[in-house]
Amino acid sequence: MSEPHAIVLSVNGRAVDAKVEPRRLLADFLRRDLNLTGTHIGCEHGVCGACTVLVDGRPARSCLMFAVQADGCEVVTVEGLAGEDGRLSPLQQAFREHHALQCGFCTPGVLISLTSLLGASPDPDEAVIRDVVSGHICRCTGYQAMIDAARAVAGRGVPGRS
Amino acid sequence: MKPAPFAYHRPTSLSEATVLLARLGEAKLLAGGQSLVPMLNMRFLGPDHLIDISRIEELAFQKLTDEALHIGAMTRQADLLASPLVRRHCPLLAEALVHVGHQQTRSRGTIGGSLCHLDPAAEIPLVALALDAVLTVVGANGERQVPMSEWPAGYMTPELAPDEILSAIHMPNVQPDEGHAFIEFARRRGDFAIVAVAAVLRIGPGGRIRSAAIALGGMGGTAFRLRDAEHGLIGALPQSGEIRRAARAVVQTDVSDDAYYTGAYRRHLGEVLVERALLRAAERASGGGRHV
Amino acid sequence: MATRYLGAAVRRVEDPRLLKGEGCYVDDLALPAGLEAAFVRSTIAHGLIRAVETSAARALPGVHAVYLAEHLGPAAERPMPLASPHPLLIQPRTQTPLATDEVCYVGQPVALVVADNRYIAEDAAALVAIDYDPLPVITDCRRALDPAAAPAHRGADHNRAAILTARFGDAAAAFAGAAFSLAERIEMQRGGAHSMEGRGVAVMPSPDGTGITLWSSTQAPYMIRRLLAAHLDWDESRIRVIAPDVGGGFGPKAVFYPEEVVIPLAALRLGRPVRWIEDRREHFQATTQQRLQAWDVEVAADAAGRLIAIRGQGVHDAGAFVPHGVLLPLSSLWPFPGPYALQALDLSLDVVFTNMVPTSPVRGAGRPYANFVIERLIDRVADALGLDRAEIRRRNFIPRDSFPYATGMTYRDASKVTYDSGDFEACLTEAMQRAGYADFATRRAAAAKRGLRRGIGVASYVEDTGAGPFEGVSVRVLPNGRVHAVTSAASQGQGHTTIIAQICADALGISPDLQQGVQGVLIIVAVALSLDRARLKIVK
Repeated sequence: MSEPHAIVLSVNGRAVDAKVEPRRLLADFLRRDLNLTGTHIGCEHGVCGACTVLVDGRPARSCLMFAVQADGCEVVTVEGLAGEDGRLSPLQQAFREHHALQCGFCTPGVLISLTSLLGASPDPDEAVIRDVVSGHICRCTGYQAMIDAARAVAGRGVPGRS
Repeated sequence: MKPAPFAYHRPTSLSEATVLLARLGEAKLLAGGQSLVPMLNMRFLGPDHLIDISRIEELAFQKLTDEALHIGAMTRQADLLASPLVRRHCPLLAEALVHVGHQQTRSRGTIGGSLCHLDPAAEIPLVALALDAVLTVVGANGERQVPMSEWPAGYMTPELAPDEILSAIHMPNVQPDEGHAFIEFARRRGDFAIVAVAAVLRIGPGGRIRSAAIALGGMGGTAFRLRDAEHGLIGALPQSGEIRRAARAVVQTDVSDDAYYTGAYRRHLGEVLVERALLRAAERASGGGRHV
Repeated sequence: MATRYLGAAVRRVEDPRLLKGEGCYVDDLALPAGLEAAFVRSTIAHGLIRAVETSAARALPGVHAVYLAEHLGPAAERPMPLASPHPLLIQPRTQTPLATDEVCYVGQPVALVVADNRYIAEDAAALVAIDYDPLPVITDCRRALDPAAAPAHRGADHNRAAILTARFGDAAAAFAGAAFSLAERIEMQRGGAHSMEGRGVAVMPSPDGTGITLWSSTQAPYMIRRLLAAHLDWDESRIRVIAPDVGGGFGPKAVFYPEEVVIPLAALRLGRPVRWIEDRREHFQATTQQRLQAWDVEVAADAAGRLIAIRGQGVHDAGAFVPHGVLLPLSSLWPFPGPYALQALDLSLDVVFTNMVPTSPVRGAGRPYANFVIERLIDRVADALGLDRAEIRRRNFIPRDSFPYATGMTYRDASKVTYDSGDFEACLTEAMQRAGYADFATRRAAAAKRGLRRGIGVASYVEDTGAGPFEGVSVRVLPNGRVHAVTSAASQGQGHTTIIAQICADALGISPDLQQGVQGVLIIVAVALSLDRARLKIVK
């Protein structure tokens, strides 16, 4: 019944050929079949955002997509954000400078969402940054440092804390 | 929380999809997946077949005519939010869309999916109800048009036969004398609304209300219109006490307590939001306001 | 010790890996020939297991085993050890790793399915049919001591797990002579921790068959090893426990769970690595929560708002078992009387069983409950007497010349709680200054004109940290100039690697290039107890 389907997609710029069972979630395909364990699974119902990846340039919950649906798509995961030489992207560097991560579990998803935002809109308002971050749940940091990091990359600098 | 097994189909045309749907028993349509896949992962649903309609190009479009903005059911919420056509000709929808889920779910979620899922607190069905949208449904026997008021058959159940597919939504264009407002109250950004209100007022040259639409979501099994209050507003001046009186109508609504909130709280919220929405709609109508 | 790195703003050595998605959490481990597991959990709060049908589950292709307690041997059928035995525990009940005949909370593990992957394991789990005889249920801890209350455990005479008391001075006399008193009912609901990474356990049998390596998303690798060895009656040297990258802990991951017994038993029986990863629904059901506490308390004060005594009766919801002993409710008592000079205290806390998932420390671990009661009471007294909330605290703080100050309480190690130093009034003054307390009324009025309601709150607390009895670090300087620091202080995001590196750098006068990551200092989890209650960093 649930015959495997052949899929062809690009992941972090590399072509991937695979056969997957229809029900295999994209998140599990990335993590287990491609060994890209940077994308994390936190809730499996689309609420926490830890599994967020880019699909054809847009942030999407990989726990709410099946790998078969990614056939013909371009997927970018957190592993695709740093440079080839391992150098952190400006946003990753800003996260480090602003202490925007603690346990690191929600971090890849947030990086994807903010990378996507800053790519489309290099100088977003803080309200827009907050809106994007609101699609993620973090239990460690309190989010402010993530917003500061995004603002720093956007060139606005970090607002003074009152 | 992994889903039960299913067979996967990916038709490339609407007719292929309707044939599949008619032939396969126990099939669910997969559009954006933002509501369906959680239910599959939690095994609340276990269909034998999933028919992925997301690659059917004829189902994703935005087309403007004199009367309406015609939107294909597979059009992604993110595309609608970014659309100048929506902003200009259906500002109520534009205002509501920022409340739909999160940016990350709007990438994939669709207008048709939301209308078929029919959560009583959902924004898109509420807008469609306030605007008296018409839905086009396609099945093995051809096409039919369904007014939004007849769309809900019950709690989270649209008036859709097992072999039918929602293909398009026709949103009446905003009129020059019209003002709108969408207001919802939720505890956090992106949460389901506790109560949501979509209001549309048309104000005549004398400054009197020509027509009103007040739609409420989150109060009961389906969203509904406050029809009596709407009729009561015709001919009234917005700054009279009539808007406050129309809002009071919410108090009569039968809403029971649930696990989260009391009926009394929802009624209170509903009354406050209806009044605010009507006042804002009136303001926008007078200001020639089609701005969001 | 000269400090150059300690207290300085440094970049964390942990970050580059985590930012690049190169962290290794339990679910990221590459386990060769590994299998994945799913638990079948009780769907009722209390009942007897009459029959379990597993044949359909076993027959599913890709299923390697379906285990009940009886299939995994005596270690699966005897109660798990108590992490913190205590003489006050009247009924020191712990669960068996898999339920044998009785289930006492929704989520309690009854069976284990091991399969090629989690998808198939869940398919099989759905096919396991359990026939229960429902038993009466008690879920409201406030009713658990009623004469007609259902026993949370079959055959139990009552639901009392312990009675804890905290007393000093003569409360009765204090109340009798007080100018003013009031009573309050204070309830604090249950709460889950919901670290973004749920729990998880992976076990690999050692190639020579003598032991295991166990990875757990735990805060307490040492405790897991000690208790598992005790439960299996093994020498600890046969068990290696590793806490890899852990995605948040917050308390509930410092508990010894049934899954940490069942997965090793399954792996040993199958001779292959087995991994279980908790999903979010399981976290809601089967990971410990904190509280519920309900108090009826009274406070006695003089006319000037100086508190004289607090007395009250409380109930604490232990849930169905007490794997963590009474550590949590005890921790909610010894913080009394906080920063205030109280003449008398008389509190009694009933710790009771209910048919709910067990409770254990979460973030603050009981201290916030005591703090909430005290601060609520002092605010209520302020309201009743028309006093400003900051002023009443000022009047009640232990005066700065009274230190060291014995609060009257006894700590968990039987020592007398003594505050060595403090100037609480100075803290309050500074806080008020920074918050602009003095002209708050003006800001509130201005905001009200714009339709905004503003409020301001004041709360104060004294927090115990650095609890003993010990923690260990061993530091070695290697011939190649690198420094190895070995500690048991597992991290779930706190950045201990960086902290230890900072301390070592200062202590040894070395200059680790912290920006480059692990260059000068390496951390390996090993010796001593476990991360519990923020005791890692005590700087003298």
